[in-house]
Amino acid sequence: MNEQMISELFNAELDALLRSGKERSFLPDPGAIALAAELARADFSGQSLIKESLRARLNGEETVGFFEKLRALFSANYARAALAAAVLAIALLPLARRHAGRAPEVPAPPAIAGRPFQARAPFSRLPAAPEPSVGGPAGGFFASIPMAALEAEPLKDFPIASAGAGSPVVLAAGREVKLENGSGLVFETGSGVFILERRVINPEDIFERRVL
Amino acid sequence: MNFTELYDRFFNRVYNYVRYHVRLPDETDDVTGRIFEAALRGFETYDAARAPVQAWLFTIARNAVIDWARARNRRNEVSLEDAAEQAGAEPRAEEVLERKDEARLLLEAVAALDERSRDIIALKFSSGMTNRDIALLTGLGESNVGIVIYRAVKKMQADIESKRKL
Repeated sequence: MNEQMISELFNAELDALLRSGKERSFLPDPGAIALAAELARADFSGQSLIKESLRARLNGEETVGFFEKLRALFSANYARAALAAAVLAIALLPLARRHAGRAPEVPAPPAIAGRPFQARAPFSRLPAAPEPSVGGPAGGFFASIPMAALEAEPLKDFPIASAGAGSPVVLAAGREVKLENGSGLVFETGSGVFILERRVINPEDIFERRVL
Repeated sequence: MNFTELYDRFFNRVYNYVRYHVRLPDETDDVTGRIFEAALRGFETYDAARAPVQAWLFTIARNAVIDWARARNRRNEVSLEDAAEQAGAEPRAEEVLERKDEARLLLEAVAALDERSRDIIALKFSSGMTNRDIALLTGLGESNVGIVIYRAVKKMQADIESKRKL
């Protein structure tokens, strides 16, 4: 029987000993299993001086740990602010729901007061805005302010037609004409006539002078 | 299982495991205390699905013992007890009488083992782990753990018998 086999047999006996607590016979080496039984019975924990005090301390830390963590959580300023905001929001929620049906009175600007809103053709194609629901969650806080109708001048026809890339204006003819304070140069293009005036002007004709 | 139950169930085993390594009761208390403090810190994150509780706890214990041994080596400390043992190949008469205590003989026999054998013997007889669990914890093969245990017991047997003859 080689060492490997003896070792396997010894360990099988040892495991049985540790499970049952009863010393077994190990024929190849009875002394070895007897020593193993001594080791299995050996308990040095009676020499410990801290067993009970450590238990009490750790048990205390475990219990206090939860409250300590809670206290540490609320010792931070951001946590206090978040808690205050949450409490305030919860407290104001019923109040907001109670006033949900009444929209606050918002005075209309004087220039447009009394003018009914008229949607022009382009706007009428937009999907209609939903009617504000009375008693809805946000109905009490927000209200639409009457707004002046949007107006725009129609685009006028410009006399210069596009002449293609590289030649936006084509000079058809040019002649000098007499004007009130000078002269002018008349340009004729294929699509219109322009007069380039040439006259003496003062700076005030162009710039507005202001005195501080 | 809450932490108090874990403490009650495993304190003796962990203490014995540490005692085989550390040998001095005061330091054993110190290291054991550190082990359970670390266990308390990690108890919330312990996942029972990943490892049995004793494997988890004795992993902490092994690391604590390794840390203790490293710190001791850095300090280059030799305790009076160790110094007496190292100095005297021939033990004094009163010391021989003192060593009649079986527990002391066992501790000395375990202390005389090499580090790996001592760790495996301490795990085997303290933790209640199987050879397979010990193999997983130590990184050795299961059959190798069995041979280490058998050889260590034989060496301890010879050591104790020679001291009993004195």
